[in-house]
Amino acid sequence: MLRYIGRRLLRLIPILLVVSFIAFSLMYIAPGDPALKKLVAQGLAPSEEVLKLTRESMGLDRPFIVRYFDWLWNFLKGDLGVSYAKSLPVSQMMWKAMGKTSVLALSALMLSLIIAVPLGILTAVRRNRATDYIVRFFTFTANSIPTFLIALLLIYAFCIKLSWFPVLAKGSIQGLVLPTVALSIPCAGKFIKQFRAEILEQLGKDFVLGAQARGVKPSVFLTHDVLHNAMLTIITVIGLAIGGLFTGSVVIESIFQWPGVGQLVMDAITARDYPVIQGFVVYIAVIYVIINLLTDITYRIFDPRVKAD
Amino acid sequence: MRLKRKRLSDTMLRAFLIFAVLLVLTSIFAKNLAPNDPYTTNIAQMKQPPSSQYPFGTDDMGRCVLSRVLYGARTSVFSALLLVTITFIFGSAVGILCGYYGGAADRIIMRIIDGIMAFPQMILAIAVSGILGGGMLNAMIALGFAGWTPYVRLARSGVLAIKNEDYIKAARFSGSGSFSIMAKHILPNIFSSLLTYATVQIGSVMLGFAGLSFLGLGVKRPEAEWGSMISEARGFLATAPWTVLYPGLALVITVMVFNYLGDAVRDRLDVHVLGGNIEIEK
Amino acid sequence: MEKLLQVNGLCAGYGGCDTVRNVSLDVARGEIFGIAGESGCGKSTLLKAIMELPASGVAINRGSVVFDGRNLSGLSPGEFRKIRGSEMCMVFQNASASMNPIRKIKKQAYETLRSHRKMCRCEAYDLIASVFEKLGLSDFDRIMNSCPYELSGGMNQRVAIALAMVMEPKLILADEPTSALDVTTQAQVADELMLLREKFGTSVVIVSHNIGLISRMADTVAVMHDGQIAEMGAKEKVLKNPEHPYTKSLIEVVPRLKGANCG
Repeated sequence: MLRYIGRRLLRLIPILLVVSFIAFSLMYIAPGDPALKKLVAQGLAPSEEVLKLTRESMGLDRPFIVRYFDWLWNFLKGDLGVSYAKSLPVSQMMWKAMGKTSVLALSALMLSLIIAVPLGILTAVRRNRATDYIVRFFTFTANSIPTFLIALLLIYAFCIKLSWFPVLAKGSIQGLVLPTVALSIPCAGKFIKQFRAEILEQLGKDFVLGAQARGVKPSVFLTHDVLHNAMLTIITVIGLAIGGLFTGSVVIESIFQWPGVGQLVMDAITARDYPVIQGFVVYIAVIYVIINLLTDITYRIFDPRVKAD
Repeated sequence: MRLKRKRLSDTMLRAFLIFAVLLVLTSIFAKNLAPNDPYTTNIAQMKQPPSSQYPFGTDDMGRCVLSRVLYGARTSVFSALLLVTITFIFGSAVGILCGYYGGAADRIIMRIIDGIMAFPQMILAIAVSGILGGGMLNAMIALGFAGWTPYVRLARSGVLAIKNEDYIKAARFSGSGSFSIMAKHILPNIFSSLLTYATVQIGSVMLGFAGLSFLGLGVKRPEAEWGSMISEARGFLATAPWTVLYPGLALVITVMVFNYLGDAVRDRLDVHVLGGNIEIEK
Repeated sequence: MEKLLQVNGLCAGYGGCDTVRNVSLDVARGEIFGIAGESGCGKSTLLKAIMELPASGVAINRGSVVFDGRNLSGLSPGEFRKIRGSEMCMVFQNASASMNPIRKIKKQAYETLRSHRKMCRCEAYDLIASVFEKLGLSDFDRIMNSCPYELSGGMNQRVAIALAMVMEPKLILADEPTSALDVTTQAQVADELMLLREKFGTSVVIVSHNIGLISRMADTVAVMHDGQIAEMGAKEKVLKNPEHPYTKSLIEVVPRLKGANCG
């Protein structure tokens, strides 16, 4: 198992290099002088002197590749640079925001699973009957509504009309409820669709016959055999969704003012705060790597046939 | 039994195709259908509830919501269709070439694709359009940057699956040029899964545009676009809910129609889309 | 003596069509009943109709099945489920149809037992061990802790039979049990099926296109053709003096080896 993990990690290195390169290059894609941008982000109107000094301090006179490796080296040491706008270390800002986003992401994930697993099984087992159609219609609608609209509708219903929750979350528990619901509705919708498909597929397999011939109780069979075999796909689906949830639904966080990674990025984009944007991009890549790895490892637990290829 | 299913999916396909066409027509003829000019502001009439003169009411600048919704259809529907077409063509072409020729170029390109796909599409789109500055063109570039990659993977795996089939080898031995093999033998076989994926993507791309516009990274004022309309109207959700409701409804219905269309295409072509989990985070 | 299984005028098939047409037969306790016929004649469908497995898609259109004095069509799904596995069970051509390939065999065995009787793990373990032993399967611990995908086809089939027997059912329906196996294993499995009668008193209905197998194992033979029974009777009579032209052609088709016992 350890060898498997090691091998998977190795294969991820080239991807990480590409990702870090993209992250680093982003700053220079945008037209204009980076030094100027930095000073502007701080709200300064610089003179030629200051610009020259800033350029030198930023190392802009050195070749691109050198700068890249410099940055990479710093990154590996945990130093992501300093925010232009706030003059705080980027890594520190990221940590704080990551914590907040994680709370939101995990809550949304759990809520989605609580909704989707039973409904996925239900619609598969009661395929093409009334329950199936009703649930599928709702999930279809849920998939077609943009998250921001769901958020606004929730706000309208629960904050304005009913005053149950505060509109602006600001990191409180009470404020956690609505963003979680807003995030989990489309997520659950996607889950239900995919869980249903996978369970239907498992129910169509041969071994169902054997279990029925042996008189295995249907409820036992569903939970122990069908769900077990479906786990592979279920985990993939969750893995893909987590990525999206963790990188913070920028939209949700900005609507509810939840101080997470999404909001951090939005502010950075508005302020042209490139180090933060870069730090964010790298953060995403790291999440991707971790989730990929966890998904692969969990695979092997559920289907021992999976090769460590 | 299978025949019945096929006929049902044919009817569904035709129905949604008609809906979709109606939507496209509505956007083309927005000018003729709109009761008022979507850009005319009228402070005296701001935030008016729906009436006979303004069937959907007015927004905070006194503009007719219905007219803006109709004009917004143009932006939303066309940009989405255009972007999907471009990414479809470009991504598939790269994918086919990579799959067919293989080699070092293939490996490098695929690593780059992996790198790009490491990012959730919406986040990448936001980052890119933020850096490029706002505007519809930059939004398209941003969404396109993330959006072309699934086609590459799809096309490539399609090619790899059939590359070593006998009939391809036969074609090569009989002296057919690579290009004609790709056009005549490979493309027809992978076309349905690519087309299915593209159709399914239309709805997602529309939502992507709406999302970017909502965040202020898409269309610039005073252009009418559903996402930005909703964003502008946020502040007075309590006092003038129709300003959010109608663009929202329009967006949802349009996306639903195109999503149903995508599903119908998939059913009709009886295709299981590889990597169908790849969707733009809304 | 009353018959264990009575099939009366059964018409059954997929989606309302009749693959099995007006079939009547009976099986006594402790009898081995062989059904021979070419692929597609409806013999597998017949077995599936008797068991009425929901996942098979086979429905009974007309006729009845009486098992151990009870009319099966009068049973609720819950009651039928209880009979399956404990009193009648089925073995399939592919062991993949019998067992979940990626779950440990012992878990699947427990699942079967606990669906019928309350018992703790050790009790279950011992019970299964005794069944395996009676069937001559060695290496019990290793097999129990393996998943089907790790075992060979022949071993899987033997395990499948053992799993079908854990509750010591009165009747086993075997659908082409040896067709997917190599010749040596075929003989092993065939002998094992015959053991079921000896060790457990179980009746066996075996369906196969291999008439040699049928002649080796069965007491009574029925020949099916195009959904109907062409001929039925004691083995010697049917195979030595076939009356129906189809039976005759079926027997003639079998290549004869000098000295081999082919009926």
